[in-house]
Amino acid sequence: MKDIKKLLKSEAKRVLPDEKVKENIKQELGYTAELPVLARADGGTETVKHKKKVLIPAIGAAAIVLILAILLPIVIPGGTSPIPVPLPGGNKFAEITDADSFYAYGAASVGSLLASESAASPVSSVESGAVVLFMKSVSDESAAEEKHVETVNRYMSLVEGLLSENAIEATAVAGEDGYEYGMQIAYTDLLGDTVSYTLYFNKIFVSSEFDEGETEEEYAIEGELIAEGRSYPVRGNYETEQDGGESENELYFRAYLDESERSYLEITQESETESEHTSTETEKEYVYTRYENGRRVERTVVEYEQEDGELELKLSIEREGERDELQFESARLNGESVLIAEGTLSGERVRFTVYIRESGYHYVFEDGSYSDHGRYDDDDDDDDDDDDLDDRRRFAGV
Amino acid sequence: MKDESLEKSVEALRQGDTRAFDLIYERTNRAAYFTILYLVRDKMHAEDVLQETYLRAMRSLSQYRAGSNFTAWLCTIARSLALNHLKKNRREVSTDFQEDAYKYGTSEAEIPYLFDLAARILTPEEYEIVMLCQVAGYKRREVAKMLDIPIGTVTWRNNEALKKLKKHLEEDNA
Repeated sequence: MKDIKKLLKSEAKRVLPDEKVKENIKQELGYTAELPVLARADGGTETVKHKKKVLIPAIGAAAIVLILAILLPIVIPGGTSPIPVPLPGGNKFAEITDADSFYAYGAASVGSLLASESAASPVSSVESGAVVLFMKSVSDESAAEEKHVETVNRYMSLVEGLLSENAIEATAVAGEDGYEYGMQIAYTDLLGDTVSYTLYFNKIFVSSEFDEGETEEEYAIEGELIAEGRSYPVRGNYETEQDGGESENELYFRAYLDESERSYLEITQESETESEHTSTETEKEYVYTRYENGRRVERTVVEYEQEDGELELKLSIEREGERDELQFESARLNGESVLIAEGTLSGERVRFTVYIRESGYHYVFEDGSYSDHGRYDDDDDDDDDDDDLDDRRRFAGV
Repeated sequence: MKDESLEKSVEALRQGDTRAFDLIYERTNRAAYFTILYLVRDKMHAEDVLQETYLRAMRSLSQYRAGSNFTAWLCTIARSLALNHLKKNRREVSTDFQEDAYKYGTSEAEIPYLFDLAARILTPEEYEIVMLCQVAGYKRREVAKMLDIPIGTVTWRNNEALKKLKKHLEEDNA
């Protein structure tokens, strides 16, 4: 039965209607012709721009390849790469077993995405000398590719948190701002630093179950998430349901990005438990969806995969009708923490290494080209390097 | 079990707030599309009929009785337009060719075999539910709400549909 489900799912793209149908309808009805205005997490707005693609003259590309061949061994650290040593990361999803742990995970992951957005834009300056911008020279095409890296970069903090060794920890704190409960959520990134966010909320009772001396409560929440020094209104729901051999849950955590609540970032848990013959299999993945003015602009599925005993994190990002897929593995390379990624960006196979440094993310691609991007940072505003959790709320670029 | 936010958006659109269309489309397009695809069995034609369905529905929104099931109303329009499309196509295209579209390569946008098989062997209700649950990725709870039927019915039809498909595929492979 599972095979049939997988077959149907795998062919979905070939069968489902194209997004252009909706645009055609709107155009026919005269509903809107203007470019959608996106609300940024920092409170500003931005008009959606369409990508232009221009072919790079072959001679230019050849020249770049030649320059790279000469300069890269000098410019890139560890140009002749030793085999990276995989790190033992933990599957964080396995720790999500009840309403408390789901909201803690929701707050940590949504908080990290919001923090990454602030740090990722604008892109930090690119090294001179080799004059390389991600794979191609300065052109409209490289700008389009760079946009992909920017998208990926927004997920780097989440990837770090999910592939780091330590668990996500939640500590109860006193409620504030009229909210009855408070929770401080902390996790470590791949450099071993602690990142934390705070959630204040009220509970809305859904159901409770008494099991082996313990009461398990399901509840929805309404409150605010404090991340990177900003406050975001949040709502969440945790409701599980058993139906014969299968279970179905309605779990979501949503952070609103504007007052009208038409722009928000939502995380939902998709899990399915199925019993076939004597075995029971549970597939669990988390879906992050971003809405701007009531319109879905990005959908990202995050799941763990066990490959040859190594834990990998798989990201499928759907945006503007395109689907990018990347698999990340955490490792050490030349004494540095890195993430090794491979997958498809704009339909092209890619493999790259991300060096995680205090100063930012350094992307190195297979052809030797590289690109530097911002990373959230906790000590931009103060020189002392203490580990006070409250100070960790401040990130670069805020 | 009614979809209150969908009903609210329909009302808002009726009052002239065209921004409400996005949510309406988001919530209903898959149900309407699979109603059409079940009959038309061609992606490109199904998209055309889907477009026509929304144009027809939005232009006659005043005829929708507020509070009844909007998705069901839309699917009725979709089914009717899909049947019209088939009738029109039968008049225009040689029947022999149409029967053997795959053989002659006359099917313009072939849908994968499994989907064609599903349209042939499943009831319209089973087809709609298995497509919404397995292909469009909706939760059974959401499908129940969308179609205004009990979740148990959704589960039952979904399982029946999967069993039928499995059985036929196994027979095909034997």
